[in-house]
Amino acid sequence: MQPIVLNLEVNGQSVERIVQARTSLADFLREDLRLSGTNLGCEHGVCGACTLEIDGAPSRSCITLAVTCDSKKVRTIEDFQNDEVMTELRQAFSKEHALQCGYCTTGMLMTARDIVLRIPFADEARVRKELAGNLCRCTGYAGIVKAIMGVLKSRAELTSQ
Amino acid sequence: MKSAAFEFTAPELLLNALELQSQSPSYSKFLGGGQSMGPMLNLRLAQPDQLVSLQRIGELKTHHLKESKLTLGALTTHAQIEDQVIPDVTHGFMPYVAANIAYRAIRNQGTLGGSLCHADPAADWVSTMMVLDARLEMCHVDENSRIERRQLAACDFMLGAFTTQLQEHEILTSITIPVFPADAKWGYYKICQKPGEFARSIAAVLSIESQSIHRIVLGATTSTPILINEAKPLLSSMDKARIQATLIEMGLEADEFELQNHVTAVIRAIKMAMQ
Amino acid sequence: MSTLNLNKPTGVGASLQRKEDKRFLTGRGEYVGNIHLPGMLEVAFVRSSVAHAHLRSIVKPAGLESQVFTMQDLKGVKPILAQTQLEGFKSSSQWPLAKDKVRQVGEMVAMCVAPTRAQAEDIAQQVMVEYDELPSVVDMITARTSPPSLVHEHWGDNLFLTSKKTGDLSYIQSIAKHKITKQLKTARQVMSPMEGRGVVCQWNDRLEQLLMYSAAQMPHINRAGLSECLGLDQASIRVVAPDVGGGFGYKGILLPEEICLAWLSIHLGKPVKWIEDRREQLTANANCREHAYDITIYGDDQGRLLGIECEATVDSGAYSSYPFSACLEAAQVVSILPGPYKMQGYDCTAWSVATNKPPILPYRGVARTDVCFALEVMMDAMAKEMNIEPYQLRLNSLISQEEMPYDNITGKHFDSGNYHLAVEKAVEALDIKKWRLLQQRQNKIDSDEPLIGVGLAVYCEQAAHGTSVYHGWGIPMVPGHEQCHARMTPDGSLELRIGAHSHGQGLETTLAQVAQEVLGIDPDRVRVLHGDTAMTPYSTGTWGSRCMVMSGGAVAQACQVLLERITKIAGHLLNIDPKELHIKNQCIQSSDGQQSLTLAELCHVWYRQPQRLPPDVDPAGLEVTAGYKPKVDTGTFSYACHAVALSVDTSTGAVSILDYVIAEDAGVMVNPMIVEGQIIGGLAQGIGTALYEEMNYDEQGQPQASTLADYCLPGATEVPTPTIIHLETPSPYTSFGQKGIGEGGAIGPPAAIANAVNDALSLWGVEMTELPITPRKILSSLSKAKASHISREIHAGATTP
Repeated sequence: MQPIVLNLEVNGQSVERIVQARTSLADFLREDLRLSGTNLGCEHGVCGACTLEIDGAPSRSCITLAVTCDSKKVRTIEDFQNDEVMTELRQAFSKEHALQCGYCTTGMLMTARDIVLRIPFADEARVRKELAGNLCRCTGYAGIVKAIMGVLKSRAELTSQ
Repeated sequence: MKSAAFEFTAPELLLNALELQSQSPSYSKFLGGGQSMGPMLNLRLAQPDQLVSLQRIGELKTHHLKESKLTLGALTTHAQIEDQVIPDVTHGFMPYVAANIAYRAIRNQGTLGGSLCHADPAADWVSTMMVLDARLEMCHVDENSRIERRQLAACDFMLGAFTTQLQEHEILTSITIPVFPADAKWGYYKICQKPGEFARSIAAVLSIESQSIHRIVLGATTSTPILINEAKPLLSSMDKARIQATLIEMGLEADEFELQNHVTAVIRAIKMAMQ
Repeated sequence: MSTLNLNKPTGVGASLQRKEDKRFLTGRGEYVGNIHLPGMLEVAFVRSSVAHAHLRSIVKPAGLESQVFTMQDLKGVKPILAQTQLEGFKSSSQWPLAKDKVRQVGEMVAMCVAPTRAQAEDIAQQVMVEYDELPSVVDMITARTSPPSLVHEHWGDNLFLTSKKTGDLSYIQSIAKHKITKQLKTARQVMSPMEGRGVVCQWNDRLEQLLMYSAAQMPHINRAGLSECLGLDQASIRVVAPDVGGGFGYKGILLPEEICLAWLSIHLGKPVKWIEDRREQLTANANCREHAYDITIYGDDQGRLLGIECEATVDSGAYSSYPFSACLEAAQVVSILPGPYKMQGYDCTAWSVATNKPPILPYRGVARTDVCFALEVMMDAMAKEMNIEPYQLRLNSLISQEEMPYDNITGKHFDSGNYHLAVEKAVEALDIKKWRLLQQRQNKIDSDEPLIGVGLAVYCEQAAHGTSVYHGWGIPMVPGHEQCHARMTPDGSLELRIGAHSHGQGLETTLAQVAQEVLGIDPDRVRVLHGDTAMTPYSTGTWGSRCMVMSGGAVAQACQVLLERITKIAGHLLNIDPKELHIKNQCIQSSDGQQSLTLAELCHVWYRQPQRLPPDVDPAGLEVTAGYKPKVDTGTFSYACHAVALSVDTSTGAVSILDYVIAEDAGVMVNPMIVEGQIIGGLAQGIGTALYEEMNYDEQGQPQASTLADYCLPGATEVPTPTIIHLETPSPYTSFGQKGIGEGGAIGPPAAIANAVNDALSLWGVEMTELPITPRKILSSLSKAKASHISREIHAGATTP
């Protein structure tokens, strides 16, 4: 099979690699670039563990072919160290015990950040609905929901000041 | 679960994509948003020799509003419709349907055209386009390398589960929807085990008195959705027995449980439309 | 009931945020899938597509023979054998790669290796296997009573084991005013942690040792099993469980994949990796639950439970897994069915049956979830017949606090607890009166409104089982004393090493809290090393909610010894009698606080200034290995009452939980935040068991769900946040009065939810007796009830609705 030259931006850096067409974006990032923060939970787009950003939009890296990301900007959890919203969410996740084994956590944070930025007035029912695509087997979601609601509230208070 | 190997190209021109497909000696498939193809590749349920990505073809991502019709490129994503990046001409109907498809991460990449071509009976757009009486345009290349286009009504497009009128060498290019007049009423109800899953039952209702349009579509059947035109008596009576009888008369195959779901979905969609 | 302080700032009782969060929140967890070794190759398995067959032939693809291995190639490797010493137990040999016969869909037939997983799967696709199919054994009842074929031919039947507790019921039968009999069933499930199993291994020539990274809960046990099957002595094997993405029992097993990869890495002289994908996890590896009960309960005229009579069947799958074996789940049924109740008669038989399905493993709650479902549904039914509130029947029948410690009818030693208070608190918090009023208004035969129902369940959760109650099984593992190795570093940090493993339980934080409680050290200066057989003392590992009792006790013990040694050194340096010294703010201080030395200063003396030490200093210094066992090691008993209010949509069969209350008692809580996390996580799994999860097999033994689109795991919209009321009755036997609490959340929900659904549907006379309670089952039962209602009305001459 003809290998393909792939050019894209990963976490702010230009990357050029030769890849197989069949390689998923998740496997490319994890195996070729050793960015292991993105986890694989199902490889059919349901569990959400592999969620990351492609051109600013949360997407499933397990069912995305790396070659379709040519010329695109991909951001994994590793790129959000200094991100303001992500920092608030991390603090809230720890405070509200929103993680136990940690396997779903990076995908959960990606989705949580999207909720906070896209739906600043979300109520609890809406938050839960938006989390439907991120499965957690450990926490029962209570801490995750509480953490997101907490960040939404504190950001709303800041905006209203 | 890793995909079998395949060749991959991403042409920028519609003509090139059509030619690649029609000239390919091996099993070649078009790739849209990839949200249905991805799992099938990983599960090795699909093992094409070649994938032709349509994502670079600009024409498929445009939209325009002209003479009270909205035309959407086939690669319009569910999220674009949900967020009303695409103008909403359906009094919130299409954004409502879009917002309830799968999960946001899927909606960011999955496409209207891809969903219609995949033709899963439980796909939301399949039922919705039928109730809207949308027009689908598809194209192919003739022996002189000219692009030929043809149109089909949504209700004629799907032939059965995962089967459509789209030929192997054709690409779905656009979907055209009529702009709703002021008095249009719509309702949409689906029954799922949990949000984001494929539905057990979908009902879409459209009532436009000024145009004498009264339609009910029942989706998530075993095959194509059932379209009931001239549904005004059913809309006003909301009679369970009549609805059930009509569905069965129109060929619905369902066991008792499925039938109850279908009738309930229809009634709740009607209530939503008529309130 | 002891005082409850949820706001304690330090040590035992503090809701400290978790130390381990930092790496998980930044994507730096080291799960086995993230481990890369130079030159590593990847493995994919060829798995049986049929449930029961003789293996006629396996043909390796031409040109790729050196990359494909069958059992014939794995010379000297022995099958997995999980025996028990229970009378009549029949053992099964599970060859790591099938030899002669396959007994489940998904059983491994060949192993393929290549530079990438995708390439290994390409090779696997080309391996040609021919099967001579045999009739599949799928239904556990007929598997025993009229088997279509034998899973293990030399057995003569399909029975791993019959367990019995025989009792004379003649007395209670003579005085009983109520007798209710039902058949109840729980579904087969898959435990589905977000991370599946995975193995990376490599032979190390310098150490002459196999190094295996495995997503495992009990690495020392995996080491023992590998030794038995590979014929290597245990010192030649090191198992490391790194970060693990959830266990729940699924990862308490010696896997055939582990044996295959171990052999392969030695054979090839290269590191090899296998990561379980979701399809393998769902269809090929361990299942759980699936019980059938034929149960009768008796009640007297005072609203009390008199006794239980039961025949139960557990579908144990094709093989006895190592180490828990195919005895555990079924034999547990017999000993735990009585639950937290007093009674005067009990007779129970449980069959562990072999079928052509993946082997069973004890899932969170073990048999308790199913047992609780069976008994609590019966209790509600009997309460209805007695015309009393279901909670009243519980109050009349529960073991009381005054009677504790109490040895029940199967010899279970209940340590402490106020079960009545838990019921009262739950009932009060749910406000049953409010829901009863709503029911009166809303639950009408001719209404389309959802039907309201309330239900409850009471259960106890035995944890931290010790030697005295565990050795009798005779399985390849018996917990004994638990050790902790504790060492102070030269600069005053504490390193703790334990043989159990933390994969969500937060032990890196809670064990540091235990150390803080005893040694006064800041948890930030405490490191907990776990999961590595080379670095940690032997332990049977993490199972049965044992860690806080056992590892926690061992940590406390080790820290206590350290404290004594450090105090003695301090006494010498300060010229004060050690008895006059105490620890405060990480210092050893005199009683007036005037003289003190920091922990760091004291460590510095031992390591860098031994000339200043007392002449009679303990030469073992600042390293301690301490062992621990509770004063009475029969296990701790946590308990709870779950109470739920829900509605049933009679047009769709959908169940919506409106309110969920849990009144629980796990003794003294080391970290209340983590305890709540365990409870709510368990609740989510319990809701899955109650309403959503089922792994069905067709008549040919084909699993019906192979993706998460088919197997429905509860999401954020299915799991409400419960109201949790904490009671804290200390255990009289453990270090701080703590008890195991990891599983309870998953035990109560199916029973409570079933009772609530049945309460909602009671006006139709409908009763759900099978899990999960799906919309299809609800509508089917309602439809039958409505049909006979209409027919009754017609016969009675009433007007047709």
